Amino acid sequence: MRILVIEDEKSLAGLMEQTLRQHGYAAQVVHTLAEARHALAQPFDAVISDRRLPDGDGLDLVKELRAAGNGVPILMLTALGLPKDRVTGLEAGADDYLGKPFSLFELMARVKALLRRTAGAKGLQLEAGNVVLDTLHDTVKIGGKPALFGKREVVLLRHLLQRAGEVVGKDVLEQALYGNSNKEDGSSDSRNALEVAVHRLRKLLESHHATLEIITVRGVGYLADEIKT
Amino acid sequence: MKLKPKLSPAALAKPLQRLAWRGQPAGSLLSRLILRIALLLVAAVGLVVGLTGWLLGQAGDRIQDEFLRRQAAELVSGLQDIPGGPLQMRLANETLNAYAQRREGYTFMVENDAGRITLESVPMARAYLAPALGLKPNRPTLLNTISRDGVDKAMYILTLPVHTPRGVYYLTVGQNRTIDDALLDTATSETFHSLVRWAAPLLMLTLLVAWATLRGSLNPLYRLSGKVRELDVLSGETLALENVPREVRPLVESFNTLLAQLTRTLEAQKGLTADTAHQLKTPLAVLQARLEQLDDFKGKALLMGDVQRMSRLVRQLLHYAVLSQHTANLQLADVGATARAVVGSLVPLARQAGVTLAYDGPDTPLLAKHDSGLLTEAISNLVDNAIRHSPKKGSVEVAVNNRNGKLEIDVKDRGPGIPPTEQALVFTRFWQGPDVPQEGHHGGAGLGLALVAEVMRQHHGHASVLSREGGGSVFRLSLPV
Repeated sequence: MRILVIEDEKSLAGLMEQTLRQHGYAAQVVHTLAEARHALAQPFDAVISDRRLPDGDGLDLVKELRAAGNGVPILMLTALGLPKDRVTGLEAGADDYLGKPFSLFELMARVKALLRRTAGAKGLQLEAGNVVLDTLHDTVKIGGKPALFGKREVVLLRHLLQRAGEVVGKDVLEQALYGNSNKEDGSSDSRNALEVAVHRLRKLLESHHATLEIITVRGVGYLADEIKT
Repeated sequence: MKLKPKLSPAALAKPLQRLAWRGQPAGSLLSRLILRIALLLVAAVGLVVGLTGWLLGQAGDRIQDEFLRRQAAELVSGLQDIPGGPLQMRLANETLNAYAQRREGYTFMVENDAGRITLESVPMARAYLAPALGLKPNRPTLLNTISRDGVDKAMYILTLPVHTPRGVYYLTVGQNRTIDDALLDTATSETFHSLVRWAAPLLMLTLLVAWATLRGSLNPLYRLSGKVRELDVLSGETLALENVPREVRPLVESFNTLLAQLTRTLEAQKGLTADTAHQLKTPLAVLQARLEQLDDFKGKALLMGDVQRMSRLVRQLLHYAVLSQHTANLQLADVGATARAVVGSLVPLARQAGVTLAYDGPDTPLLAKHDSGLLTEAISNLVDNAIRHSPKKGSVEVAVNNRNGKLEIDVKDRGPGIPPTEQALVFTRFWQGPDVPQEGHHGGAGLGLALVAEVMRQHHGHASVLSREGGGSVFRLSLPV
């Protein structure tokens, strides 16, 4: 996995590079937009970019890349970091936004989530705890052994694993499971159906001794997270 | 107004001070003016009444003088010097009778050059007119005489010389003062009394009209102070100069200048704060990253806590500075969705702290005009605080309700709660909870709630805090629907 880090503050860039290496990623650091454009001639699995760079706004690079059809996952770093900055960042095409100062653990978690999401979209493996989901064949392995999951449970698990550690909204899950045909009027039906599906998924995970749990966030949605021992 | 300490018990000093119209405390301009006008009117009326009384008295005296002179002239014209015979008074019988009966208190006598009395209106008229015998007053003069019954009586007396071929005679005429005076006094005092009777109600009426007029004239001032009260100082608004009385215009202009200066200063200060906070972020990020890279050592957790606390402070400073300059972009949207998103994004933080986070609200959209970015910021701050102050295994709930025509966003915790006496203060800048942050405890910077209040101000809403039944607090954001 190759990750491009665009950050003009050299000590911070160095620390990020070091951490990424420790987590097994190949990191390349550049300090300006010009260097970044040059580096991006080659493919990267993800880009971490600051906004305020000596020769411009990192957001402009994001727009350029998206306009050129480059879908590389991008995590913006910024000292701005007001909600509206986050929104403009995401609207410009960035995939995630992290405000400075940040924890390197947080950075790594975001990078992993970012890679996971794109991996899911590309039809690769999603992994959390001892659960592995092959999105290409929709098969589940728990603790290395194949486990038989229903179609709905797999869909549910895929959505939760793509954003493991984050809350996935009920509406998102409902739509993934049942489409939005009955969302307006019979929402209580689909809501019950969602609860039933989650219940079943939990049972399956439990019976296969998965180190992954589905947590209910009342009123909002669900979250899949590793069970820490 | 200063009173001697002996005479001024505190209880007395206050009302006295309020009355003090020469001293500093000008409680109300209107009552000040009314008080002065009332005093002025009372003084003027008193002066007019007194002067009228005095003038009436003067007029009475002059009338009496004039009567006496005419009387004397009539008598002089009546004197007939018949050659060979005695000096005689030839007047209409009626007149003579009136003198004989001392009607209206008139008495006269005539004496010759040698001082011998030759004519008297009544026998012993000389007794009444005795004081004039030696004096011979050539103008009406008030003299004391002794009447037959021995009572002191004042008489107006006038003596005129009458030249005849036989020599000079002196005619002395006098009038009992009491008689005409009584008449005059009655007239005078009646006039005077009706004047006083009319003066009091007239005074009241004048004061009433004065009050109404003054109030009306002060209306522009009342309007002005109303406008000042409603003025949003931070918005850069100024006071309009139209309809402002000329006298107050300089004051309003100075006020506007001051406002402009204040706005400039605030902007500069916010700009500086934002820049500083912004510049601090990168070195803080470096510090935090370096620290995290180090192997575990004693005190690392504390240092990490310190860095995080500082990061929070810097972030809040920046947000506060930027937000107070920011104008909210209010759009009709589902507040429930905004609140749910906040809850979703803060669940990882809550889980780290071992706190359960939940959302409670109807399935139907709760529409209100709001800036979702700003409201997210405000709710996040409240939830973040609630998590921070919750015990392990505690729970924080965000509830959105449409209540009394307002959208209420409640953030409820089971933390230590905020004493009622502190509740009014929590939204002020740099307020710190009663639980002083201990070492390693990531206490807030005291800006989070000020930021919330600022966001609500921009939403024409209101932030408040209540004690929660069973312990903890409820932070409530009310949005107009």
